[in-house]
Amino acid sequence: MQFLRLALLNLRRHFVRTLIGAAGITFGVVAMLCVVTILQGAVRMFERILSSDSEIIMFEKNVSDLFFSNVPIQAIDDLAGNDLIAEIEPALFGIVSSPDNPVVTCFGIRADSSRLSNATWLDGDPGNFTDDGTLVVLGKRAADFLKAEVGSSIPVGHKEFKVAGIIETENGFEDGGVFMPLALCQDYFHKEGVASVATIKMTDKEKIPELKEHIEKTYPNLVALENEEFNQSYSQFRILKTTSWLVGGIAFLLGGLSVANTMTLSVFGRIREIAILRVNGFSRSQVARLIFGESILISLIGVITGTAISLIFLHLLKALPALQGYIDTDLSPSLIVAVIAMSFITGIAGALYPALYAMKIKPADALRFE
Amino acid sequence: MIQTQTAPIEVKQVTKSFDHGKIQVLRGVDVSVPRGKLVSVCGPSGCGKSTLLHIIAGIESADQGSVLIEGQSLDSEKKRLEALRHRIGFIFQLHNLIPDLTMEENCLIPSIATGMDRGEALDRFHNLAKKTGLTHRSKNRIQDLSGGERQRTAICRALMNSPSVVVADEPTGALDEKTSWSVFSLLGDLVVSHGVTMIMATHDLDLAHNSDRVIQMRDGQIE
Repeated sequence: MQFLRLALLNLRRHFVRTLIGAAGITFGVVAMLCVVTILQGAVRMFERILSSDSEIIMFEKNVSDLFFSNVPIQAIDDLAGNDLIAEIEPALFGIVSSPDNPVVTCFGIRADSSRLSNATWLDGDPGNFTDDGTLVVLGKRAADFLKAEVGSSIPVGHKEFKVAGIIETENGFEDGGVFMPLALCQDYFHKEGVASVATIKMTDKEKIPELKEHIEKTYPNLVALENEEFNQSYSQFRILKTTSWLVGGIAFLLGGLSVANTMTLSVFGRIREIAILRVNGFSRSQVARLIFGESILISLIGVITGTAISLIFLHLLKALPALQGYIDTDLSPSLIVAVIAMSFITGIAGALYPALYAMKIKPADALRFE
Repeated sequence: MIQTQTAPIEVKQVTKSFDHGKIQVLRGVDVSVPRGKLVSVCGPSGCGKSTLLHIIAGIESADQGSVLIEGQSLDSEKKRLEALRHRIGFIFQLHNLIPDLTMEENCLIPSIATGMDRGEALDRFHNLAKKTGLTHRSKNRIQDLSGGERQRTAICRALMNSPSVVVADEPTGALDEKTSWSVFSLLGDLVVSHGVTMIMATHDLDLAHNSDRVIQMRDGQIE
């Protein structure tokens, strides 16, 4: 306890150095928590768009991006008769731009799609959205930025479409999207007879392996994955997740360098003091423990401050009207544990050289020449 | 406090050189200090007083010869550390206190090294602060203390772990005459009241002649 008290005392005495070291860790923690949370939140949003309350997602084998996936509608219709399947929904994804928005996502769906039935209809009649019709439904945000209302025509890419309704969903990407009848969407994107994915709800979840095997055998060009499997294997998600950890890791590295720099300066500036400790009975290992202890305390301050700043920042971000529904800012406990562990590892690694240097200080020489 | 029948400080044929043997500082020094005595080591600057005291305190190792403190050899780092923690208190000329810690915090450092319970350490400190007349200064930072108070703080710190041997390297060297006598008197009192054995280097012959025995050094040897 006395040892901890001395470490705390040293941090208080060298307040500015402590602050700089802790700021480095704080920076790392904030970067890691925010970047990973925002990117993984975005991934979760994408996951929800793709899976849409289903258990299985089916798409073309070996495609790098689902926008390039072609699932024959014939295959979807054939599977609809399978006893293992309760519901199967095709969805065709496309991206276009409008005058003020470089990215507008289009969803080609059938009129009975759960995407529409699960949404809140703000305006318009669901009955006007038909499989063979030419009317589109807009997400609330899309209606806002396209300044559209029911009955008006909106420019989507090179064509204009009449609006049948406006819906509100919990997902920002869907809320900023244009929902087209599947046939109209296929025609618009020159994807006749295909969808990007098909989402499948099972009659019995226990029989998922059986259905997957059936799909693999019957449609060798298609792959059916459970949502969790899909999230793990989809290359776009993997890239996003890897990027988030990489950016966070680099931020942590910078934080670690800051701690190493702080602790090295601290030791260089305290050579005489360390010699005094040695002359008063401190062993080399006790000196090293003191340096490590100070570094770990700096990390602790950084973790607490960084987590608090991250929570406030993410909360503010979530409250921004422009971002509502686009990002999921819930901090996952496993991420917090990982960040805490990384902070302490960084703190310990940053104290390695200073501690080794401090251990080598010869008290007699230091007191004679310093 | 460890007490044996032998002299608490026994130095036999100690040699020490620096710069790879080019500078011979101690040339076969023998010293024995009886229990409860205050022995002064005098001699001109560079004669090897401080080096001898550093070796006796275990701060430095001897090239050859042996040092026994309470019959325990200081021939390994582990033994020297053990001696510094429990048997030896060291007082420097320039006190070597940590300036931005308080007097109390400085004095508690040896107790942290030994892992002493804080309550016990504080009891000891208050007792020593009372004896050295520094109770009212215990919460003051070292930089706010006078030279005499700093040296008395160093004495307090040296006695924190109740050593049987105190080694003082010119403890009055940086003090004026009046303060020097006050500090010397305090050291003498502590030798008597705590029963410690003390070896002290000094330039001040008047002080030296008030100790129990004076050792003269010249060119790394006892005269």
